[in-house]
Amino acid sequence: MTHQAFEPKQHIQWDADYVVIGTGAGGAAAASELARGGAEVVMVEAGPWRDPSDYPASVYGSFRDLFDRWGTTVTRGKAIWPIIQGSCVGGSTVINSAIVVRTPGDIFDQWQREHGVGGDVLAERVWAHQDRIEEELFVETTRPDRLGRSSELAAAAAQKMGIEGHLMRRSVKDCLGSAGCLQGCRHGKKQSTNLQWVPEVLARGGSILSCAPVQRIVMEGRRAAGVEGRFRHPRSRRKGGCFTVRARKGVLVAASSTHTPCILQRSGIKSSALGYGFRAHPGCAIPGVYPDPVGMDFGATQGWASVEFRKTPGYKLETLNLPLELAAVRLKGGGSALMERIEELPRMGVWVAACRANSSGRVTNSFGGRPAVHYIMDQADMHRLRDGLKKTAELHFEMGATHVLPGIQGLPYKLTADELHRFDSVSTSPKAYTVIISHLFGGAVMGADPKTSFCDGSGKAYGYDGLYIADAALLPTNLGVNPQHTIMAMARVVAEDILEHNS
Amino acid sequence: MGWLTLQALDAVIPGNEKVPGLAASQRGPIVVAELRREAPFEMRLVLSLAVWVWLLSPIFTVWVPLPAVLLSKRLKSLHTDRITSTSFYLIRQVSLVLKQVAGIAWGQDPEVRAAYQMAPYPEDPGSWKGMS
Repeated sequence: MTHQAFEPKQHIQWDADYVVIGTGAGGAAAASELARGGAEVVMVEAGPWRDPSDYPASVYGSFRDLFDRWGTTVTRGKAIWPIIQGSCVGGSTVINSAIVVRTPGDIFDQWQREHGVGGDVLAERVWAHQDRIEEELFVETTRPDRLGRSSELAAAAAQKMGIEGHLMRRSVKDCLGSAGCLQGCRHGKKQSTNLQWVPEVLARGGSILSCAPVQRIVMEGRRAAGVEGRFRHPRSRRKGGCFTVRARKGVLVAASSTHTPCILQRSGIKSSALGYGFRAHPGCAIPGVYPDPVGMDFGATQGWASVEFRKTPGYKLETLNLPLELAAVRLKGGGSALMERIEELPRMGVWVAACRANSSGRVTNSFGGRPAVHYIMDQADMHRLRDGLKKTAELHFEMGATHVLPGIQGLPYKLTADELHRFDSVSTSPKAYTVIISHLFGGAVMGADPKTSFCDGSGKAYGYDGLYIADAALLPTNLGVNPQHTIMAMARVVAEDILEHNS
Repeated sequence: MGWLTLQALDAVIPGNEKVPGLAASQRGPIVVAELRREAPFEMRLVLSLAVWVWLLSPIFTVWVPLPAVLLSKRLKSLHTDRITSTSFYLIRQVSLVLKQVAGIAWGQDPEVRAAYQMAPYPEDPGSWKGMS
């Protein structure tokens, strides 16, 4: 087993059966499947490899050490919304809340109907992989004593209102409820891929380059023959030596819905579908202020969710324990007025409405090889988001919140229960909302038609040999649920098909 | 520019009788200096822009033709509240970066965390596998 981190000068040249770009949910899942099948795998990761003992404690450290470019990637369009992604070995599995939701059956029907891939056969395969993944990652339902008061309140509110709700199932082993998922879980409880599958690949004879952003895929005619790039120092970002990894059998791209299309575009890959079909679950947080302390510093970062409204009108609700630093930023204004608002922080519970947005966008290369995400939510989606926020506020009031903080331009800073109707008439301009973009999909989507799809149902790129997509970029629709489990299982399906095809 | 940045950030979170503001906190000024050294170019650029917007805009918020650093404490606070919650979208978004930096610098101060009954953060190791 070999791990090569930042190399200042030397040109590193390796070869393997398969090169996997990215080590997040998709890349690590695919690499482990290939390694189990006896293939020699080299993983190439843009960020550094950090163990729990290396994880930061503070939010500042998290932005610096774990986030992609300090979280500065934003959407371009009518509104500027931040896109949250990890950049380290383990990708976003290091910074997310480790939520595990099985792919809903209707998704496979939708994929079959709209994109000509999917159906019952794929569903059975994905679910079978998800069974195994849940065992490998020690998936468990959040323990009630690790839930935290915010999630307890949300669960009780949903029960009172007769709304479906459930405690999150998460790939966290013996969670301590430290509300530190965003910082990677220094207790080592979260089963991110850097702790699970990446070491397994190495134990099976694979290798990994970290601090190694891929510049381009090396093409020999229409065949993907490897990758090349230059090392980048994790702290100073200065460039180091070059690296080249030759792939005898294939290159799997799993660098996320933003970076996968960019790498393909930089490599001269041609497809009318490349970069299109970017989708997301844009989400807004609504803090509710209660008479008694809620305390967001204890409990699972995300412990409770509801998918009652996933199909109609199309949003999901969940809790989110925000660190003090970020919760303070969410409050309106500045100066002594902000200090007065911060006084309420200990009594706040933050719940989120995330829209199952039908709007789609496009990813292109920008200055310095950075992804430019062109994305605008249409009015139908904005109405969904607004409805979700109103429902979230209703849940807060059901549990006795004195007021909620809608954070929508055009509404007062505080709303009380008898002012709920004001949500109905507030602007649905994207600029009026403080939105975070997470759960990314598409950019190199799968489908039966090469004109509208980049790859087939096995992730193989149309018109090219040895080139595969193995991450969220191939998902042709959003899901309405947390996508990590689906990404992992689909990556396993892709790897399984590659092994079968090449045996 | 470092002094000016700290003034702007401190105006966003000036503290009160219970908790120190950003400039008066132990860790806040250190974190701001680290951030200005370590953050990627685009973040430093937008932060600088936000500081200048904050500095030069009191004429539009509190109707006083002075840079923000010369305002009285009361007017500076009022100006900061208004500029960070303005209805002009781009100005509000730029100011959000000011708030974000102020928040993450202020919120990791041990005294601030103690005021909210939170344990202090241990040191961020900043290390990685293969670090030499």
